[in-house]
Amino acid sequence: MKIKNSIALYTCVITLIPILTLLLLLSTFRTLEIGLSSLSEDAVVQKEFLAFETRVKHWFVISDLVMASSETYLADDAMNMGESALNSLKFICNASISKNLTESCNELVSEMKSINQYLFRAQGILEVVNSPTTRSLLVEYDKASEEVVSLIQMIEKSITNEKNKNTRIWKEKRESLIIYLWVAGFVNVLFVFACWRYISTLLVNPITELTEAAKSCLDNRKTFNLAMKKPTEVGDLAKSINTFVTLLDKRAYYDPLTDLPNRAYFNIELKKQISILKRNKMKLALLFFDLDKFKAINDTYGHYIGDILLVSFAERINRCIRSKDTFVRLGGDEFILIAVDVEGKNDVEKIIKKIYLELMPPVDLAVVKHSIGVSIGISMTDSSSMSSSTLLKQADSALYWSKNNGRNRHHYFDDMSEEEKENDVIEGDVIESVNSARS
Amino acid sequence: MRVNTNISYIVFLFSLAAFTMVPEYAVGKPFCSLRDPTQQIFNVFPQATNYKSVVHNIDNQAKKELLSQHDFTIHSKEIGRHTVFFALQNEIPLGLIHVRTESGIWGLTEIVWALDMDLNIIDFNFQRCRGSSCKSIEDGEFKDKLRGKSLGDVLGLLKGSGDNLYDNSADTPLQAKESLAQAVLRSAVKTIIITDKIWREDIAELNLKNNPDK
Repeated sequence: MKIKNSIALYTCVITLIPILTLLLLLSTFRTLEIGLSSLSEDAVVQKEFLAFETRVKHWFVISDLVMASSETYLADDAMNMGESALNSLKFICNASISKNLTESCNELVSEMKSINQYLFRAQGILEVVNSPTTRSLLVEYDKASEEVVSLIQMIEKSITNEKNKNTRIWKEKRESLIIYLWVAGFVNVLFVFACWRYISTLLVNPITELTEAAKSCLDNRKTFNLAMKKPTEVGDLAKSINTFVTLLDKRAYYDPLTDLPNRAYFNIELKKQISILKRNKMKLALLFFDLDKFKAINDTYGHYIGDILLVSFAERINRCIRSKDTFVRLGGDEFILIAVDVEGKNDVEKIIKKIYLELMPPVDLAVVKHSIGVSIGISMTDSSSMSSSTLLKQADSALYWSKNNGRNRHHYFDDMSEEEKENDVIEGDVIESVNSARS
Repeated sequence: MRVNTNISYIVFLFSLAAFTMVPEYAVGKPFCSLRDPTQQIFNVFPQATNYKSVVHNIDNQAKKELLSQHDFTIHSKEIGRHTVFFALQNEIPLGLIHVRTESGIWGLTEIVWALDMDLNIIDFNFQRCRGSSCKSIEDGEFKDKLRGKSLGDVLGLLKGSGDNLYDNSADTPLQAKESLAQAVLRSAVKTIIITDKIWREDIAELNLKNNPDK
């Protein structure tokens, strides 16, 4: 997934998760608040009911005094107490905990009102003891009061049961909510960790790898080649840098005409090959090529044709050399072959034979068919202490000898006489001094 | 809410205080009259042919004497004219009916006591009793255990735990039953003592008529 898409997705989720958590928290607190309020109301109702019960008990004592001993002057007090008890009963009946007790509550109100009516009636008739009217009133009063007690006990039991049930339910809910909160917190922590981990994997780690690869490329002159595991923007950047560095590398170390390594590459490669000579106990041969009469081709047919000749020459040599050898263009019509792992001149001769065979067919230069003639100077060494410039001078001296001795031939520096070697070395030193002065 | 409860309680206390300040002559009747005596007497004593009601005043002097001799007293409302009904079979006394009132959980509990002439318990019924424990006390084995008990027996029961007095298998909570059972026992003791003290002469007279040798 692309980083921009990931960031978009994560931004959405990062925004959503805290919002959802906040909503969950608010909802939790709201639910708990409702629960606590409900439990508190239940407790108030239960307390109120106990107060009501006490009031009714007092009311019954006074009412019984009125009814049992004809003390009718207490009837007003009894009726007032009854009204007071009725008022508190209305509050209890309207409470949410008593919603399923509406019928019983109404019945209780009705019975209590009827007791107050009996008390009112008692004022006129109780003086006559044991009259049928008195007996009837007392029976009705007792029946109503017993019904009141029965209803009160039933309602009290229901309220207590309901309160216990609600308490149990809210306790369970509270425990569930606490678990939800823990889970939400854990999910949030997990999500933050996942975000951090993902951003590290997606951005920080690839950028670090990119930096390390660039440093390594600069320090060790290695080819920059960073393969990103994920197809992100950083991966695309790495690919572009790879392409760019490859292009720079090619421009710095390769000849654009022949596609052969150039002098800069040759210098590095020769030093490297000389440095490893001791390890493999083999010799290194430097074959310095110079095309015969190349200047005449250029002057006669133009540089375009000369370039064709150079390209053709490079292709042919490349075809017949070993894969472990390095063939470079130093500049102009000068080429060098670094032949490694050679035991002696025999091996070199085999290479040269192949080269001459390859160059034998004429080159079609569009305007003329041309047989390539090449002079070769060869220097060899098996010592890692040999400097690359000395080895190159020796090959150059041998090439000079070949050119001076009829061209289209090869010559070993080792086969030159001491005098020739000395002259060539002096001449080479002068040329090197002039070059140094120029630069 | 608590204020209302307190006000009610204060009203109640004032009401009780008002009783004590009312002069005795103003109090018409004590609050333990037998409701429909004829039916009640013939229910308990079916072989009765007639009955005799004897009214006595229970005055402050009687109250003081009771207080000095026993560990209970009588309420000021119990002071006044009280009636005991003697059931007779052709002038032979079968027993007596005496109604007493005790303070219960839900108002006053009126108990109709039936005693034989030796003041042993024959039976009892609630003339007024509220709460679920009334029926279980009245119909259960508690009543059977009280039948035939003398004052000494009842006092023994009252001092005991009372666990063996009633059936525990009933639905009524044990606490409520215990409370009512103890109230009934206290009432029995009070009834027997008051009857013996106030109506002793009447009992002796009736017994003498029935058995002149005594």
